[in-house]
Amino acid sequence: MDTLLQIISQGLVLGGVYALMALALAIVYSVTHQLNFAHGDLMVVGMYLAFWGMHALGVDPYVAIVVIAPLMFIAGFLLFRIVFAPMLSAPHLVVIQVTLALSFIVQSALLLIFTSNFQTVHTVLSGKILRFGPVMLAAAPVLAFVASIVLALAAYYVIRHTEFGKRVLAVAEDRQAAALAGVNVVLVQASVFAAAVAVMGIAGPLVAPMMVLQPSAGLHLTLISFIVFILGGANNYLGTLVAGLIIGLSESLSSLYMRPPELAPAVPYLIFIVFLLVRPKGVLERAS
Amino acid sequence: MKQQQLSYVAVVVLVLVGLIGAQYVSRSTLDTVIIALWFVYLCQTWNIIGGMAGQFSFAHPVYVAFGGYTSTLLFLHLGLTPWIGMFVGAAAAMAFAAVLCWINFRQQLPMLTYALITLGVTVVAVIVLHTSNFLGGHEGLVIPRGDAPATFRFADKKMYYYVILVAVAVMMLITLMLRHSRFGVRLLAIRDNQDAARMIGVNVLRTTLVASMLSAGLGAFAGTFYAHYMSVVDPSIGQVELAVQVVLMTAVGGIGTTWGPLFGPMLLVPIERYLSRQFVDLAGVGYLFYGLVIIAVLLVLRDGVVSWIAKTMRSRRMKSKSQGAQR
Repeated sequence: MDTLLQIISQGLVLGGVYALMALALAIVYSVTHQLNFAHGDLMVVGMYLAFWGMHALGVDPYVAIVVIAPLMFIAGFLLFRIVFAPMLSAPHLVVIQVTLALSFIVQSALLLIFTSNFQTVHTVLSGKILRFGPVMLAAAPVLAFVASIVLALAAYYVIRHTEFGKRVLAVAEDRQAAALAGVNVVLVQASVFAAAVAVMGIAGPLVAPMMVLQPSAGLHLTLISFIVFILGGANNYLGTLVAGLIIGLSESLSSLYMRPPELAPAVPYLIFIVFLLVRPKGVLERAS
Repeated sequence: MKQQQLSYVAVVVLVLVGLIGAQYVSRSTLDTVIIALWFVYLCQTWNIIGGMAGQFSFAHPVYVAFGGYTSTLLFLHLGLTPWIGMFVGAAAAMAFAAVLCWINFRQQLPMLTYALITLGVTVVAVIVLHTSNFLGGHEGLVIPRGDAPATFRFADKKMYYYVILVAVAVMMLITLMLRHSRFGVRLLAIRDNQDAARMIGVNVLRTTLVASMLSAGLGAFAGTFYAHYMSVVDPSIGQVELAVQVVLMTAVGGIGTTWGPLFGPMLLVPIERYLSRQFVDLAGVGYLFYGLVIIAVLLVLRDGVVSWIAKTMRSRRMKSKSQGAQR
């Protein structure tokens, strides 16, 4: 019974991070109507920045976030202006190609700088354990989970209760109408995109201690974000959160019960395929 | 009609250049050219369904894996020559492609959804390949080296080169024939507007089904070739990155064009290979450059090099015509 509790809590922690990643993707999708296939790679950049800060400068990853997040925001803004803005009117398929190429570039650059060796990140919380009754949890994942939830709530607050949020919603609803009403659509899109990249810059260092860093890890993260985003439904923050928890739980539970256990990573994808087949007109159809 | 004949002549010329050129190049260059041609072949097969029929699929590595694993299993366990085994692999891939296509048609999936489903299918397939003991797990299946042309094994690398050169030329002819056939026009009609195509009497299901199966079956042959060229077939043959590369290379050349799938890999593979060899201690330089080229081409030319050249030539011709009319 202890193992089961352990696994469930791990799954929830994982799910919280997935939900945050998917949320960032979902908000960008709502204002640009394009899917970014380099999404996960941007998070891997965040992880490697934390790794680099720890090794080269001796800065704890949690402290480094203060620098990494603004850096990623600026990088995201530039990336949007240079690569995404000219592509926004292009068909979905062209944008898929461009963002896939971007993911290619990020992965090769990481490979070039950090080599393909597996790396690990240590923080002040490494090895620290929290006890909740019968459940023992490593401290780092719990912090990542709490931070994910806080960030998700913050995003929700900004979108629903601020002037900027109103503009975002307006652009998401109808770009032309928003532009006619005096909203600077491109600026809103760029800010949202940059904010999403900054969120990856926060999430990356937070999850880095739990992961093995590897330049090609991004594609898996991208796909998981897509899965959670699509399961959750567009503009449905609660749905995204629930979907993230479902995928996180299914991944950790299947690692316990799946026979052979090596097939466990396939479970989220199978859930995804079945879901798309049952509800093919899901969220993507409404948008296009 | 004239342009069509010109294209056939161009194919013959290319094959001749390939045959003569092979006599004068080093082994390592030959290796690069073989890999480049292999990608050309794969891009050509993908182009049938992804370019001409406009069904954006990431499932091609699965077809390649079907081809490579099936022929190798038949060869290792039953001693069946891969020259026959590859047709069994192609049949398996075609059956799988038919299922995917049928699902796509029944559910009327939006394009992005179909792309994501095929992506998911490929990821699952790779995990299965890694897990299955029968399929050799992580290590895959090793084909003993030998010099037995009857079982698709050559001691001389040049023989592999001739095989892939002929395969590319045949694919080229198939593409040209498709282009100029009623079937090809139906495919283009479906790509441009599925509902309009149906209105004018195109059987959408049958047409896309045939195109998917053709694309998958021909793609599976590439798997058998790769397995024998490398003397091993392992899960890396079915990985998602292969689909990404095929899509991007075709995109650089020009998706849906006749010559684009030839141009993209012939440009990108040698660049990547050359840079990787030049900067051995800097892993990733080749792919970094390659990614930058792709982004630049897509941002500047949008539809790839071949479409851009065609467009420029057409507009120049129009200009000279209109100038002539003014005089």
